[in-house]
Amino acid sequence: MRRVEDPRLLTGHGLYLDDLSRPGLLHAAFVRSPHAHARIVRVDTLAARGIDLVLDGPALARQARPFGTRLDAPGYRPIDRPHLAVGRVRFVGEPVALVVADGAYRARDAAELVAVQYEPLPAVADARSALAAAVQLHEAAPGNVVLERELGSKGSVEAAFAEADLSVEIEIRHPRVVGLPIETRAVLADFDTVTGTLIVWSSTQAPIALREALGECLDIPLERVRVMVPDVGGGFGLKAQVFPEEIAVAAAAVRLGRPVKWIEDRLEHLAAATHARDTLVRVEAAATRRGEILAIRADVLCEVGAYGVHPYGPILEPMGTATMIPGPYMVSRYYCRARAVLTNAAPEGAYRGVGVVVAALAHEQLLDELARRLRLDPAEVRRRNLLRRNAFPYSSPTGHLYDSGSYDETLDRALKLVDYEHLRAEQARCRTAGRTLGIGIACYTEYTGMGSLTFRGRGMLSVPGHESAWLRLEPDGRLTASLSLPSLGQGLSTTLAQALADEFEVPLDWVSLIGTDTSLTPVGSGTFGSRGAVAGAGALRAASDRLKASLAPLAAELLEVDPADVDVTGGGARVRGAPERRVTLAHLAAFASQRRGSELEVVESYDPPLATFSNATHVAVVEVDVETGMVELVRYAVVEDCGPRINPMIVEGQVHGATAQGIGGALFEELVYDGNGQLLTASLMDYLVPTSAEVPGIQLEHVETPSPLTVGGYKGVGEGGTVGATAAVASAVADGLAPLGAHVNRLPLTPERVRALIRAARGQRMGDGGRGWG
Amino acid sequence: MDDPALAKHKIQLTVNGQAREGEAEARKLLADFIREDLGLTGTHLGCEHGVCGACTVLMDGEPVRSCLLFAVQADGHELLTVEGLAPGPDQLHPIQEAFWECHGLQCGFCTPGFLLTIKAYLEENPDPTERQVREALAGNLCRCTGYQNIVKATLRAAELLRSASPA
Repeated sequence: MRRVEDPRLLTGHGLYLDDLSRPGLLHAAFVRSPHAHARIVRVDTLAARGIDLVLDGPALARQARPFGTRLDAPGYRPIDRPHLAVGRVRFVGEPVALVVADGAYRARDAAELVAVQYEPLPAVADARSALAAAVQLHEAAPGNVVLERELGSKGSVEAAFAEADLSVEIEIRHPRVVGLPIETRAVLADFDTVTGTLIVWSSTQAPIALREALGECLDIPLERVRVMVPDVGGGFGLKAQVFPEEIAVAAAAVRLGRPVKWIEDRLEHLAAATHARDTLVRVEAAATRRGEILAIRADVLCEVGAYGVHPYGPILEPMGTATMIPGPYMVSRYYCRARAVLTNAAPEGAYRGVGVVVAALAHEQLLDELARRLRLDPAEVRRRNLLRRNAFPYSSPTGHLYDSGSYDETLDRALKLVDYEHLRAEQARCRTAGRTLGIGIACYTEYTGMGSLTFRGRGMLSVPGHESAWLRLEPDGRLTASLSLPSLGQGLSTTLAQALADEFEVPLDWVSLIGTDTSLTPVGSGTFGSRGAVAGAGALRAASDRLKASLAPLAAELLEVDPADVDVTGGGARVRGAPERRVTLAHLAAFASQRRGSELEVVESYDPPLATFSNATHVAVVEVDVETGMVELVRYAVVEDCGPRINPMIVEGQVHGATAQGIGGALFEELVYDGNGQLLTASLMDYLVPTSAEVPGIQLEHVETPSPLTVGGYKGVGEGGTVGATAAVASAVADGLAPLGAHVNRLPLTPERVRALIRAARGQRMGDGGRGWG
Repeated sequence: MDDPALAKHKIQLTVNGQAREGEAEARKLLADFIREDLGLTGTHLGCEHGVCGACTVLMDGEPVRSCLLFAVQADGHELLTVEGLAPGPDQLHPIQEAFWECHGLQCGFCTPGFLLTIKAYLEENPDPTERQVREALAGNLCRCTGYQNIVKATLRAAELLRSASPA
């Protein structure tokens, strides 16, 4: 099924944020901190006189409240963030002032005229200096620890370790990375001074949260805040946050009574949009001689940057990792300490696979280590520990309820797909010929389609968790809908149009979806966390059922039967047991239009279950050039299970794209700060993302295990590829290097780092500590 | 305006087969001129430092990054942007057709740059291998598709173009 949005996008007629204009449009630019940590002595805006508006932190603070992020999570210490820095800056790129001028070039010029005098302070550049606590970033977080939480029972885990045949331990660090949609962040705000209405267009995944934040921060009644989402050029979770820049631009529009647009540039994006991961995990397993895991003990240390984000706070990454380290395996005893520390770096937020990426990386490294220790095949160790089909529903030791899954089946299918035995033989042959092949297997499960109970459970009180659909039967019998879930480019407009067309059994062109516009679209949470298809299909089912219920009596009257004997389906309504007696939707709509009180326009909402769990197995094959350290992906296979697929082509596209992002984190992508908190990777020449030359062809197969909990049995698929790929590629490189005695302990595995690992291993074996070996 | 940097320069060029003219400051990027002055917003800016390739257009048939050129440098030249690719309204160019068929785009933001890069490439190499396509497209970044279906669409487009004009 081809996508409905494509002809427009292919011919240059997409309408992204920067394509929008308004009469009298002004442009905004931000003055940003060049320092990681400094006291603001003075902001001198005199030179920028004559410009439409200059706002610094204190001036904006008089107009706009900080975000009222409601986060009630144990072990979390609430910290605040001003929209524009007040008195102190805490990361390179933090916005200090906003300048508005006639034209984007002039706004940039004017921003350079704002002179900010700083008194640099010592920077907290990493977790070690954060925990040393010589410098304090926020008073509310003593020792720079913003979250500290223990999960599970330490005592029972220690007992298991004491009794076990053996234990293994790994340590792995995932770098700090960024979502990097090709369309950067972007917002346009206008203020109607006559009605006092704020109108905001934003390239956002969370329009409802943005609307509520605008109303709350700027003290505007919500009925006078309207948010619209145009075509979005990619989000990947990064745009699921509400940003201080959005509030500042809207505040400028309110002050000026004129439209103001801000388009982030790529350097701002790298420095000041939200980052992700930056987590060090230490994991130990107690196991039997057969390789069965008895208990896992973990320590998660995440550098979350200088602030939390709205509406999630700074806990997404550490808590996601801490709760998912047991993964798809039978782990009856688990203990984890999770900490989030503040550093002078950009705040961390959501990015595809948040938390779960690092968890899967850790558990798969752990399983590989166990296999190496026991001289077992890594696939066999996985098979001995994976939860089996009859284990569901399964309550994980961290309180997740795994509803269903096909863990062993996807593993077996993936091994068959790559002809695993043959691959291992090939690897041995290569080794004797002096070539280094590595094979990595990653099994994972991830929570998707989360509802209100999940967000309440996490203490994220600013995220409602449900979604809604508005649905109208048009007078000509066609159907129009709008949902609280904007499309980000992944094809959600097509997926959800298909789901709606299926409800009424009408052709796809009989339905149309209107992009999110809060003046029409009912409230909800937004498109993130692999929730779109699950929550969207659920909301459309609820709305369709309600519309059908209101159409049934009309159809009954037309067909001269009892309403109970009517089915609204097949593009209209028909008599149960006598399907030839039917009326079309067009006929029903025409009839209804003459009846007062017929409900042809409905709003319904859907609250997804706690979560439904998707799963997959990825297999990566790499060749490592031990002389140059270059890693080449030579083979890649995925067998995934997201339940029934509404649009198989779109599902495959999601797996492909997510997999490429996982490959990026494993091999290329890393935001690097120096010891003073300066960002060294501030351009795409330094922050490397995979291109078509690095991402191999991906073989992809599917297993469909319906969720017993969701409408249609659907499960989410947006993020999983990133989870599987990071772990599989890391495992493959580690597998290739293991015979050399080299241990992978951090990503990305750049040529330089791979060379260093090989050198260190050779040095250790030669007893010279690695010196003198090139 | 005294500042010579802000003086406007006249620019005459051919865009998508039509003679167009406009005025721009010497510092104005070609990409911004195309979007703002010519009103052709199908050309997108992804990085403004010449890496991502989203702003690729064809100048005299050659792919160029319109964020790395000033508008004045296009004076007297011929441009093709994504709006000029299809043979007519409600029609698609075979490369666009192949992208639609193969799901070669998701968010669509990088797509115009890919389409024009591919057009120039297939004119030069009408029957490429998959490896050649991967190398040829490595100067354009896509964050959505993992390039799988872009590569597939390029090979499909090559096939469509070859069958449309047999050698």
